Amino acid sequence: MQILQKVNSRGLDINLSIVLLGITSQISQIILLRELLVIFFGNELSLGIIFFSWLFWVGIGSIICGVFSKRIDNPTPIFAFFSILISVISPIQICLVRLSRCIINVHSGGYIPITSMGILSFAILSIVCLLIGIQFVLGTKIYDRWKKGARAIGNVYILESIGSISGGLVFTFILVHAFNSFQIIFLLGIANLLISLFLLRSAGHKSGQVAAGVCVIVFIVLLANGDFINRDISRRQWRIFNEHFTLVESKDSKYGNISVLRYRDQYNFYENGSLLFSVPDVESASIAAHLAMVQHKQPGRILLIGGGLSGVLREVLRHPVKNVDYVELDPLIINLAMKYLPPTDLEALMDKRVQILYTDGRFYVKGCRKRYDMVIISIPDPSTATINRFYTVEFFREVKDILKKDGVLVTGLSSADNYFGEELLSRNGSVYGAISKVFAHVLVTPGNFNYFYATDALNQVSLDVDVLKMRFLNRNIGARNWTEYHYELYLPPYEVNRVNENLKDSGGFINRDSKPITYYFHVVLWNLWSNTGTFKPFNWMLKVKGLWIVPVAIFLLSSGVLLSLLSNRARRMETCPRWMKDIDKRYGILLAIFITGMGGIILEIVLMLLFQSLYGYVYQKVGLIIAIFMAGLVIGSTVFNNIRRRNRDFISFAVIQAVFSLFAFVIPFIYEYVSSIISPIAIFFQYSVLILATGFLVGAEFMGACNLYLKYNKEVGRTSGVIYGADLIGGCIGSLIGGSILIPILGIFKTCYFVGIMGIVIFVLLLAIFLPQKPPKNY
Amino acid sequence: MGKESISRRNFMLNLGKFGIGLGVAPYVLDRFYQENVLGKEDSLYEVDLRYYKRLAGSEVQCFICPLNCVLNDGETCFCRTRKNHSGKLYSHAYNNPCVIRIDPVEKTPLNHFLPGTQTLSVATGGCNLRCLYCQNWQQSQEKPDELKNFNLASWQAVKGAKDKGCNTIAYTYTEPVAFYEYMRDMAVFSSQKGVRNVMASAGYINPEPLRELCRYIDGFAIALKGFDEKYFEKVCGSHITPVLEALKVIKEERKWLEITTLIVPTYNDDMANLRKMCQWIKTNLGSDVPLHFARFVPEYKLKNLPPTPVQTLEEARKIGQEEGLRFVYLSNVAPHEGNNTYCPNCKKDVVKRIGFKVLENNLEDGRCRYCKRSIPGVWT
Repeated sequence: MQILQKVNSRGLDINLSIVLLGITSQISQIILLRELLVIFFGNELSLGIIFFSWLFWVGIGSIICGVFSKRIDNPTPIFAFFSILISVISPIQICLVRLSRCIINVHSGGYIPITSMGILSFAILSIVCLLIGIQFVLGTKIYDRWKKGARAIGNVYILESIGSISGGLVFTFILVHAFNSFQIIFLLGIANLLISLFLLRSAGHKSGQVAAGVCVIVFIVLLANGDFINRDISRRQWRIFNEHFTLVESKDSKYGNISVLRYRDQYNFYENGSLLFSVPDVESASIAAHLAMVQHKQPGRILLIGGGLSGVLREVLRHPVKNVDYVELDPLIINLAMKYLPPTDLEALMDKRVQILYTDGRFYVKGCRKRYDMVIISIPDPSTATINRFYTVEFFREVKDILKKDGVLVTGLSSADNYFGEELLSRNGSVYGAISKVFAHVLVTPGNFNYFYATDALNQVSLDVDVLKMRFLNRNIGARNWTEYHYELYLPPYEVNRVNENLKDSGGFINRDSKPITYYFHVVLWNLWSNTGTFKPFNWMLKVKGLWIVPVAIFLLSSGVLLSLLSNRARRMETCPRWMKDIDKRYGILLAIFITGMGGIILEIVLMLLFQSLYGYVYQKVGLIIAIFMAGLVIGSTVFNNIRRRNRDFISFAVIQAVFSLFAFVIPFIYEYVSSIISPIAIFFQYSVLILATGFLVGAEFMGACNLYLKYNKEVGRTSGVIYGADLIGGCIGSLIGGSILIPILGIFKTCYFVGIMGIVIFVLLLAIFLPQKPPKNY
Repeated sequence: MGKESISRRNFMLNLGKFGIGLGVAPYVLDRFYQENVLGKEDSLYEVDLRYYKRLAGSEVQCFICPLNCVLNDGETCFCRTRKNHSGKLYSHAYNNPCVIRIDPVEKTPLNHFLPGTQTLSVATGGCNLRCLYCQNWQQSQEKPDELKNFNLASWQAVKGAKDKGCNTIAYTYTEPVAFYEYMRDMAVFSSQKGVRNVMASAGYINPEPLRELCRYIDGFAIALKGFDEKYFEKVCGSHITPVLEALKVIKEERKWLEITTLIVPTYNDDMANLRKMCQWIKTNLGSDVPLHFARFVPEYKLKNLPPTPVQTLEEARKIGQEEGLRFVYLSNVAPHEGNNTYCPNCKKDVVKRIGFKVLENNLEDGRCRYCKRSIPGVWT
């Protein structure tokens, strides 16, 4: 805040434009992420790929600008022009994303192969992200006029982070409710254009002003037609998806996109691009409900988590139940369903035995005081870490706590008829393993969907056709699409046997919060569904052990030491080429910031996952947690921006590096402690502190690196460019491997240790490079 | 010590042990025999020279299916089961099924073939098609060598079928054309032993091997995937003409034939096209050939497509009936009147079903009990 006070009237526009840069980059990131996920039918890997492309291009942009920084004499008009360019390209980008399926050779409704996914997000995100990276460096160059050196970088970094925080909050709490993607982008565009108009005016650039002015007018016109544009483009988008479907409605909530598509008399609900359910669909709802409901002799109180709208709720209510609590995360699904559901399903929703609760299932189960006879979990396949939370040992334990003694857990996963291949068996087996850790009796149905029935009571769950037939007949239910014979159809004894036997010895994988392996297996399966060949890159990754960190560490250390020797020798030469000077030190700093950028993102993902598992996926809280991370970033960099003058740059930098790696080692222990806490407020508080600390360290390290680097290269633009770039490139690798590979395969603990060990390696490397010789004074 | 007399207790104990040994020995021997002498049937089988040709060098060309793959040494056919080993073509799908199970014969689907009886279903890995909606993608899209397989020779299959009370052996689930030699040899053997054979296939096979099969296979459930070459290419990775040829061959050979068409929403549910298909069936195969319209459920690479609306299936069935086909069924949707067999004459339900479960059979010697009209099919 001190910064803002010091700002004179001439600096206000540049301050604002940097904050706006932060807002723009944060909001367009959120929007593009959501749009791309709809196209990719998002799984955890596609999240990783999108973040990878994003951070990569921003990093490259800032490095490029850093390298050419010296040649830029008057950065302000360039900054303004690029601002205009960003505003103009952003809406085009959304169009490109939505229409991108037509470029790829993929059948209607098909999965996009990983390679195409990578190329697509890489290509589409390139220009705007490059520009955002460039803008950051230009911003520091502009700032350099008032605040010299590291101060300039620090201020820009802080302002940009403040912009990001506010962008995220404004999007979550205001924009997403009131506007569609195009309207939001147009609004942002107008703000950017106005700012650049002011910048160009103070720079006295006439033609630029005209251009910006024209753009503003065009954008206002576009904004007025935002609704039409949005509808038209999404209609085209879904027509590419399947030309025979008619888009009835497509809406965004803070959780994602829900689209309703009509085909003949059928309404199909797609959540983030993947099929959630269709109505009317008598068959699947009946199977789900009537196979499950006879697993309990007297099902009275039912908890239904998700999936009630496809007709399951209606069929469940045919059984003699006392009440059904139906948990659904996103109210938008129910609102849309109300419009298109057949009357019988609407009646079921209105039934006085039914209570609808809009909350996260995991959050509800954790805080629930009621006891249920059955908990029926009907959640999509665990394609992401967030969904995976409903398939872990810890979650099943929580469910067991809210079940009566003879209560029954019902859940399910997609499967395949007749035969389990290795990948499918590992995925479904890891969930089977998790359930059988918690419940004494687990039975699984065969077919292209495996339902899991689990209980502790004897003679409760059964797949014996005669038993189930009797239970069904005794209840005297007037189900139109289900008869006692259906039990025979769906439970052939030979198949029941095979499935249960196979799952029992499926390789011993167990899905846990701290080692969420199931969603990794899902990505492996998903690769089979999207590929035409038999290319299986993910299978061998399972065999990778933690030990491979040793050669990596040796390589990093030896490269540093070698460079150090080289550079010392060069110093003694008479004609030392400029680029050789202190190359080891620059390398050390950049490597440190690269590894910290990677580790910081990985730790952030770890903490977010743990928080969502322990606390629940409550959107506001998750948004708040991200804001807290950014706040930590701001505080860290502010603090280090101000203690710069004590001329202990190296020591402070090394200390942060050490603290960062120690911090990574501590997280697993804190997790052990926090997981025993029950009070949600205490958990929230704990995680806020942890995430604040992570942000603080990342921010502090960034500033520390800038301070130190400026000693060896006085050019502010170049320093900020390469440091920011290295940080982001590290971050992009962290986001690619963190969520989709490291966490599920190594587990959360080992992932933290990995970050910690890498940090220590870097610490040692820094000592090896910097300690032998004091940094030159007055350089 | 050596001449110590044996106590009665010890004697009884030893006698007991001997008895147990004697009792167990045959079992152990049998297991040993089955596993080591008979059970280790070779899963490599050299393809009959009639169905492949040696080309220049060590190249060979396979003639089992219309793909007529040309293979260099070490290469594998598109179906993943036949491989060129230094100029000789071997099938890797022999005696090594990955699926053995017992099903109602209706599941094949055959509704006019010994209704209500059980069949032993056998399948190996591999397939010469690439259907996007494959229900057996876990085994059909892999090489047989890479799967966990059983070891099942023809004689074992026949013995198993008889032990379990199955009247038929069904070659199904994946594409039996991919394990042609295994199927043929098993069918030859089992038809000698009085077990009948049925084949569920996409009919993507050359006429010559098919004619040979017709000597031993009693019932064919052929999936006519659609009636549009584009659909065949795009969704199944095959072509329609050879399938239509195969259907005609089966008809010529006077074997029992039923046709299944899986209706995939937005892909092959164009009613005009289905009407053309029904017309073709009537003209070329006759109106007594049963036609099954099957409901698609999201699967494999089409997981993101909704299931076929029942309304669509009903429309298709109506079209089939309008075009004069006498037996049009709906499968994969139950309960539905399209599951039942109706007498074309008195319109009464002669076989009542829910899905593939037979509830009521009102046939007497292959005739409708009510009006005595003969119903085409294999009933005894």
